[in-house]
Amino acid sequence: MNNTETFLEENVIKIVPKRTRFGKQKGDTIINVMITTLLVILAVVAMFPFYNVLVLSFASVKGMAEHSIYLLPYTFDLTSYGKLFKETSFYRAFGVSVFVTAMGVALNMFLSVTGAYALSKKGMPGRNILLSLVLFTMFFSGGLIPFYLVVKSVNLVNNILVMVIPTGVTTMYLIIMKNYFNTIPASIEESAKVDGANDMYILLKIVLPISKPFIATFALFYAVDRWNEWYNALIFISDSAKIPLQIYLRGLLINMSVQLSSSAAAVVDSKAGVGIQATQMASIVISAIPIMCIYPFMQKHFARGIMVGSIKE
Amino acid sequence: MSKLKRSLAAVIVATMLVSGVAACGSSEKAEESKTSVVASESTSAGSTTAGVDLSEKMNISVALWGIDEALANAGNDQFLKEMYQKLNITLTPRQITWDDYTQKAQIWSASGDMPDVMAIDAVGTTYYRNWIDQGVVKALPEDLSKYPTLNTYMSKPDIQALKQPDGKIYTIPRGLYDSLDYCAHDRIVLYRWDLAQKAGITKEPANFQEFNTMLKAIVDKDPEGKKISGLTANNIKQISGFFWLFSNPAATSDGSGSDFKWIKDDGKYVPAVFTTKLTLPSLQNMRTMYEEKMIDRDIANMKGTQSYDKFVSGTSAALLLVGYGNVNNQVNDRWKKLHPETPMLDAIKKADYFPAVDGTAYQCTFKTYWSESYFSNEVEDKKMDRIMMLYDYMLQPDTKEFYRYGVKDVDYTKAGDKITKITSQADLDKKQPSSANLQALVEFDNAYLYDPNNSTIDPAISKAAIADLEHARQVAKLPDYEVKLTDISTPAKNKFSVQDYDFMFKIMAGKEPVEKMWEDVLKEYEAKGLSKMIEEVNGKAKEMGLN
Amino acid sequence: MTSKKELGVTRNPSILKTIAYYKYFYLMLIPVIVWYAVFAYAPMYGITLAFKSFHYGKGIIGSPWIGIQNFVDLTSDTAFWNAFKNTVIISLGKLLFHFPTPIILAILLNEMYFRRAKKVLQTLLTFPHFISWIVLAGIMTNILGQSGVVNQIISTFGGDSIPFLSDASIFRPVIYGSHIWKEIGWDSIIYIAALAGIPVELYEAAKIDGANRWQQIRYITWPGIRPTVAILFILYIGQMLNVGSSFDQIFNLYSSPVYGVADTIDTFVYRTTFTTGANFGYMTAVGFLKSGINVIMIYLANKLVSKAGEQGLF
Repeated sequence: MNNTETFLEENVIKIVPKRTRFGKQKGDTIINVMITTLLVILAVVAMFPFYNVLVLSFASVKGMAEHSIYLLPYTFDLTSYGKLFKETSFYRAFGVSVFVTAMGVALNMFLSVTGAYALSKKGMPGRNILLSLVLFTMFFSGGLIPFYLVVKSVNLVNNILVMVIPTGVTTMYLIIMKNYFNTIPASIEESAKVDGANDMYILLKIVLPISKPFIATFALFYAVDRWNEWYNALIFISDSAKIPLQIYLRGLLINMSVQLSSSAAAVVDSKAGVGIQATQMASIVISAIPIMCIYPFMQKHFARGIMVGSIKE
Repeated sequence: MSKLKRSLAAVIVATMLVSGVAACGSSEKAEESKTSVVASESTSAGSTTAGVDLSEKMNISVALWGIDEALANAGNDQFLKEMYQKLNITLTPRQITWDDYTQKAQIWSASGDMPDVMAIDAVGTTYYRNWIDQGVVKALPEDLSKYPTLNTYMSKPDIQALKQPDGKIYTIPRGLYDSLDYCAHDRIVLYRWDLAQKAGITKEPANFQEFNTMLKAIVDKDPEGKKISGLTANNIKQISGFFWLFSNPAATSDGSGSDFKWIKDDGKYVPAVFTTKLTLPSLQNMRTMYEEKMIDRDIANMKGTQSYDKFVSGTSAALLLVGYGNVNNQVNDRWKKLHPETPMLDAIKKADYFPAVDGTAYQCTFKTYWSESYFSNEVEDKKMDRIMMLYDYMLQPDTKEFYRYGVKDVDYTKAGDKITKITSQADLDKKQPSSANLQALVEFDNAYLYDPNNSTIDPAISKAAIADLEHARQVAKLPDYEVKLTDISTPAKNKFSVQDYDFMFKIMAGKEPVEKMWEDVLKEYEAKGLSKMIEEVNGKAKEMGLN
Repeated sequence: MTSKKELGVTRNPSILKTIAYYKYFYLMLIPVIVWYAVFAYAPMYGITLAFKSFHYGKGIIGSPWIGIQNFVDLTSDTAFWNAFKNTVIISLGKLLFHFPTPIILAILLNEMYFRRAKKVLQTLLTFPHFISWIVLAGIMTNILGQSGVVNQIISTFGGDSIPFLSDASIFRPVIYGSHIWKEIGWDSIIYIAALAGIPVELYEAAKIDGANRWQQIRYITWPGIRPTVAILFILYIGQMLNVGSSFDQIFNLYSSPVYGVADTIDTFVYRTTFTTGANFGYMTAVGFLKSGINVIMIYLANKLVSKAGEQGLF
């Protein structure tokens, strides 16, 4: 598989240089320190709200009453977490989001990869028309009512899949993926053809394996979008058993419409509303955990994936 | 890539063709689904016209706040089981929440996907008009004698005022109480009397000036060191019900934008809220209060139950909220948990009915109902008959006793007018979990709050509520306005909506002179057709013989 | 065009032969085409509503045509023009304040000596991107509210509490600030990747020639990053009205006192459609207008960038 290695070498790995450019130069240290300090301050400021959330999620009633400015983790009270974990509607919403993200990403990637790869073939008759049709949808849409009617006619209203199927493709990602596939040298595909492979085989066994970083990047893009999905749910889901986590959070955070089962109504009413803030913060922390887990895995693929796809034409 | 550009142009033509074909397809589908629904409903033939025919089991889809939870356990719910059996129906939920019910209503109505029964506050809006004119909602049968309790309920004057030019009524309003004097409790101002005393106030405020002084004292002194803020509100839309009482009581509105009242000014009918000489003093008062920090700066951001938390935890000196129900459920509950040793009414007092600039004390006035039930036009007459029976059933005193107290002689006993509970409220909730939310299907019946049999209310609060209502009847006057003009229909009026809380807040928190900002507001509403609407309404008033 | 060499023929291949050559690709396209047909194009007929007056009973198809009346009404709708004005202002504001920040950040990170720390910082800064605006709005109301941490700190130092979320004069900067906070890390990834592609030898050569850090940035780093900036600039401009609208962000953060400065086209449409129930045709006209402007903008931006010497998108 010489071609693959060369391809990776030339187009992907080279991006991370092996040598650093920083040699010893006068005045360098001062600038280095300045820049580093600035960036560290920036990072602290950026992280502060999350720190605040985390600290508040561990707050107890006494702690909140004693310290009006809650800056340090005065208490490590896990009651809010406990209460949240006992709450079935929270579980359900979490489960719904997991399902939607898993199914959604699978569908997203299937449609995007097949579409992008096919549309990257410049010689294909009709390709330009199809591409224009796709691009057109980035600007014009029929509006909410016709969309609702279409969703209704395919029986997706109030169906969990309404958060999966109508969000099947994000055109912008499709275009970037198409651009990426255009950067794969024709020689790779040609030599495979000479060996007798058909186009499907080429896509599955040759193109995809070498595109792993790229695919991973977009899988993550889609995953984040599906996990944070709320608009379709707001419009189409009436069954409170099918709401995704974001809608549940929305209800909890604006404290208005979350219908907690009566046995767990204590979550909201307990501790004179002081506990509700801790519960809200705990729910935020829990909902962020899946994202936090995936991100470090994907990070190393990002730089390569994003750059290659969007620069080359 | 000019090929691409050329293709792009061709695309637009292609799109229209493609979508045209697709459109035919989807509209046909919509037609099909309509007919199939109708077909499935008319299963058994021959419904008798006279007498009550309950032979056909019917399924009614209902959109009501929290209906999902209400119907979740229908199999084990004694109230539902009885209702289903008696009326030979089942109910299917279409969940709506306080957060999204308007959106859902709009979408469902526009895409022909209405449930059989839907709750929303629509009277006075543009779409209310459109729904009636364009056949979205079904009219009630003109003769309601078959449903006696419902018939009596519907004969209240402000409900009869909803009769359309074709003689029909298209909705069943969700009643709050029987008469407008109860409105006095729709906007309640509570304040921390304990903190006021700590700040040196010796007398409960009897007018707006003393109220302001007290607020200022609490905020300045800050007895508990919590950086307490001034008056806050449960929802910014509610401020209209309080602040207008200073000089323009007829302008009090419920925040919906379409209930603005008409008064006579200079021989002409005008909306009270746009009568400059009446509005300026109130706005000036608000500005002064805000500048002197008597009003919470976050007042516009309060969502959900945040304001209750704020008030009870001592970070707001006063709270504007709706109804003694909330005083009990939200404020009292929180207070008991945070300060179990002090009865709430010792530390928290309700603001009195303060005299306006003309020397008379007024109370805010809205309607005897809030929100309504609408019925999809797809519903067949047979089903409508059954729905009317359901509504009639829910209004009957026996049913009310059922959903409030349970089964007679099992969950409660009745001696004359007095009810003695056998089953505790918690256990009753397990036996009939639906009643909590389903109660509000036909009417809210807030008058129940003042019923001594009501054991869900803290007795101290209940006593205070009844006493204050009497007090209101003695000292507070209902403002004068022409009730017949509030809901009439004219082209310009149908499109007109007044968000008074919006400009009230802007002017209150603004920096420019109040008069100038008010002039700008008038200009803004002028551009929306204020003069035209006034003209049309006065014309209509002449026709109606009002002068 | 597929070359003769590819198809192994000596004359220009017929259309049928070409189609046969690509048969697998057509197969691959079927699911995608079906999806676009159903979910993007089937509803497209709804655009016609912009030229109609919506009638509930008749649906979109049967609603009567009123020509460009909706657009005419738009011109006299002060609330709409206010929303439009806000959209443009916020969009320009974000272009001015938000667009350059990831670039600067990328350059700064690139200048960092400590590679390990650089990775950590980058990861940390990217984190807010993954959180939805629903949650972020909850966090922000918590922190920036009158009794939130920020105001508590301010009042300890004797200052007046600042109503971040309900003061019309502060709200827009809050929007810019929070957007920067959320996206600076994520947006900088592309730039960092581009910068990493600059050959190290260039810097070494420059150092030998005596260039200082600033000159290195100006003559090596910046040209290396320019093409990326150009592409992203075009994409940004083409989405200008969407960016300015920032539905997710503003919808979850705004409230009645700041409608005047923060109501954008998208939030205006949402609110008017669902609260006062204005004519759907009117709202569709607004959407149509917005889409039209987007198309024009992206075309212009593309032209602008090509003129500046960079490769465009089309």
